[in-house]
Amino acid sequence: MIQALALGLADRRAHGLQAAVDELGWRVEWLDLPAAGRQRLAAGALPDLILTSAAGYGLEADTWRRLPLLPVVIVALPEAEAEALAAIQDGADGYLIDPGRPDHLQAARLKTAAHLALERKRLARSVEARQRFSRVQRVIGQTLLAGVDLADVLQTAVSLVHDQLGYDLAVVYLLEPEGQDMALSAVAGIEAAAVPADVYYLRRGERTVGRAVGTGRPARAAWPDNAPAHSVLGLPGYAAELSLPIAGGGRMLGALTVAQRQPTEWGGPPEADLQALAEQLAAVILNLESAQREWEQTEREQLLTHISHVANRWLGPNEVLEQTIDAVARNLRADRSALTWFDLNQAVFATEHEHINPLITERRSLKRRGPLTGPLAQIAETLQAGQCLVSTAAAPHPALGDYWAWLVQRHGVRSLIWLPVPSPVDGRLCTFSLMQVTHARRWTQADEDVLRAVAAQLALALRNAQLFDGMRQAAAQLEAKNSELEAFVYTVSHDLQAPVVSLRGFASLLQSRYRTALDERGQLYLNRIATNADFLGQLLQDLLELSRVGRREDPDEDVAVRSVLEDVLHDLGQTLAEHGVEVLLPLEWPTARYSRTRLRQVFSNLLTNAAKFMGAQARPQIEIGWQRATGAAGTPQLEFFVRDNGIGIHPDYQQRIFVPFERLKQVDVAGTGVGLSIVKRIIESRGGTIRLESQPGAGATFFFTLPDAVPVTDGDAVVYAGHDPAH
Amino acid sequence: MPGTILLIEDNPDHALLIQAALESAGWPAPLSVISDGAQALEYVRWHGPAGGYGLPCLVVLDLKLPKVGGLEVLQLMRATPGWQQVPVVVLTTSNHPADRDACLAGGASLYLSKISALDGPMTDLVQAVAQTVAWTPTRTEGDPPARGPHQEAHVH
Repeated sequence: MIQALALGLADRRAHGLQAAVDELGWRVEWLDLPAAGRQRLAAGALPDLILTSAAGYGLEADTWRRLPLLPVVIVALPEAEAEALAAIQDGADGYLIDPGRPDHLQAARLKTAAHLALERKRLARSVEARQRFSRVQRVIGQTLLAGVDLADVLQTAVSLVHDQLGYDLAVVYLLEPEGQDMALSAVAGIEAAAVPADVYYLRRGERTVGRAVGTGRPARAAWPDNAPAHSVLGLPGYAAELSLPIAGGGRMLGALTVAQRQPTEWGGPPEADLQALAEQLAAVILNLESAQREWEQTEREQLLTHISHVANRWLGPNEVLEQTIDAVARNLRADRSALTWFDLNQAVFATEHEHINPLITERRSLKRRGPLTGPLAQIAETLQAGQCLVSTAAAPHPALGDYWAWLVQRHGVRSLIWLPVPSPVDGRLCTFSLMQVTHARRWTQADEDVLRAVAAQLALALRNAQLFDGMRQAAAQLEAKNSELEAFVYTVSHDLQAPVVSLRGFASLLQSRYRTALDERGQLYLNRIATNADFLGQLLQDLLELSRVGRREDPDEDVAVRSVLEDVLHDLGQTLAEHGVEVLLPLEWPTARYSRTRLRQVFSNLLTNAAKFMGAQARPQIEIGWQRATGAAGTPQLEFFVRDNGIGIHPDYQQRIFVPFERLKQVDVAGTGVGLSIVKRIIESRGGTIRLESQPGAGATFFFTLPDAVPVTDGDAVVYAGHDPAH
Repeated sequence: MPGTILLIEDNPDHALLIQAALESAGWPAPLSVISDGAQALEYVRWHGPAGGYGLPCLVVLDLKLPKVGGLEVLQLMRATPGWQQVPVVVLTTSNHPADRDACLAGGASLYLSKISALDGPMTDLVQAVAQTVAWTPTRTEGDPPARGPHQEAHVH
């Protein structure tokens, strides 16, 4: 019996159309307003056939385009034959000329037109189905070539079976490698969240899936009442089900199951297509299994390498833990991970860090802290004992108690693995957990092994990080102490200036105004007071300077070293002349990135020092030179030297000369002994180095480095910032 | 005759030395000595056109003062009508460039370091005063000290 929908044919109904369909035994629904027809087609089950007028066909062109597989027959009056032909051109499946007289629309002609239309659409449907199927096969083949993982391929396959081949439900179960169970591996047609927890694993032999896997042949089931207790996912609403075994490489791998809400006759080309698909899936699974084994191995190795890198970086303990947990969660495709600390002495816990898969919609935070009571106390105890907690909906770990129910209810957790990090950190126990909310993941031995290895690495990393933390704290303390000391030196030497100024002032007044009131001895004593006060003043000045140079108060600029040295030679002209020193300078000069004042001080102190220690040299000489060099960090540097031909320094004393106020007792020269310490502090505070080459009696050479000015590339020529290439 | 020199100096020894130097150079006028910053602020308020009392012809100002710092005193002077024209010589133990820059930027006429200026006959200080208030020292005594004078004065 054909169910037809007649659109806009009210006038023809009275002229014999009704009589013809009655004669054929069709059931016809008569609708006359185009809008009503459209609504009917959008809402209810589709009829087998549409009957409409040529004009009506033209009005509803969009509707026919949307329903390409619905047969449409035009019933036209003779004068509308041209329109009817146009409709055929446009996609209508057949037409029938109604002569316009009641007795002339013969039922037999209507039957033929309808039959042809139905046949035409059946053919189209099968062509379409073949095309869709080959599309499905192609896509699956492509996903395999793309090298994605098995879960993705299976999900793609079932989605295609559902969307493209038109099955209401498509699932794949795979046999567990070690057990008798079959694990739900992909599902399309319902929300993953709607899958009941107890069907994630099915026993071999259970339901059509089990039969297909058990026998290696297709297994069918039908539930005419649509209330199947034993449908593949145990859900109502399906009328028919077909499971096809997926087998390859001489073993059973799993099954592909499809289900329809309408009663369905299995067999024929659609089933053959599904069979071909199952074979293709078998090939894919075998292929990917070996690839995935290798890949998982590599990936896990990479994970451990990554973690040991993290552990070896100088991070604080929390950073190490957090980065590791994130890496583990991503690598093992966990939906959630959390880092929980238990303080067994203080009886508190704190979940301080978590990672949630960005695709998961349930994003409420697990982070919290509180007293360690109830189930958490038991959890802590179990983990403290070194045990690993594994829990799934099917088999919750007893130690988790109510905490598991809370995780399930609040966060939709379906599977959990929770491990301790072996060594307790300052009396506290560090633990981490991975959770799955999309499915009741069964943690494999391989998962547990890798997580145990991660835990061991973490324990190591934590110890390293703690050591580092201690070092960092000690360094910070030392630095604080140092700057405190420097500030103290600064204040003290500053405050000491005032009484020294008074001492010198009054001594000087005594010398000038009351000299005659003192005898020769008195004057000698007074002179000693004045000299000592002067020396004390100089010491304080130097001390101040020394504490100041380390602080880098002066900004760096591009300094033409030549101009600095010219200034210094001008200042020291008298001193150098007194000692009869000849100074040799290079012809070329670089630009340094430095404080001008400090650079001047460096040269001034080195030249003064060289001039001072000339001894009995008949032709005292100081030579200054430089060359480009590269610093430890690969930075461009300038290495200068200041060489003299004076008395030289015994190797035993070469380090001591840089110590403040340390003076080599063997010679009697003026000065407080701070000059070289100041030079060293200036050089080192700016990342440079200073060293000395010397032999007693053979002069001394000081080498020191300055940062090169930053080169600025200007076309092909390299010029130096602050240096005008025109000069 | 020049007017009063206002000496703002908390160290009595230094004040004494400055007084001695000016006296021996024949400074003819009185010297007012104030020993902390708060008193100095009070002084600035009471002297000049607004306060009614006469302005000093020169201020010698220490930087490290009890209660209120010398720099703040200098700022008040420069912000008070009449005081803008009074020369201020800063005389301090600090030879830190930052202090010197702050004083000169804040309107000091001269910045002298005590370490070199308060030396024996205090030639630097006496000369500074002489230049600032157009006065010629009448007497100089004794020989200049054996170590040459340091030129630490920086004219603004």
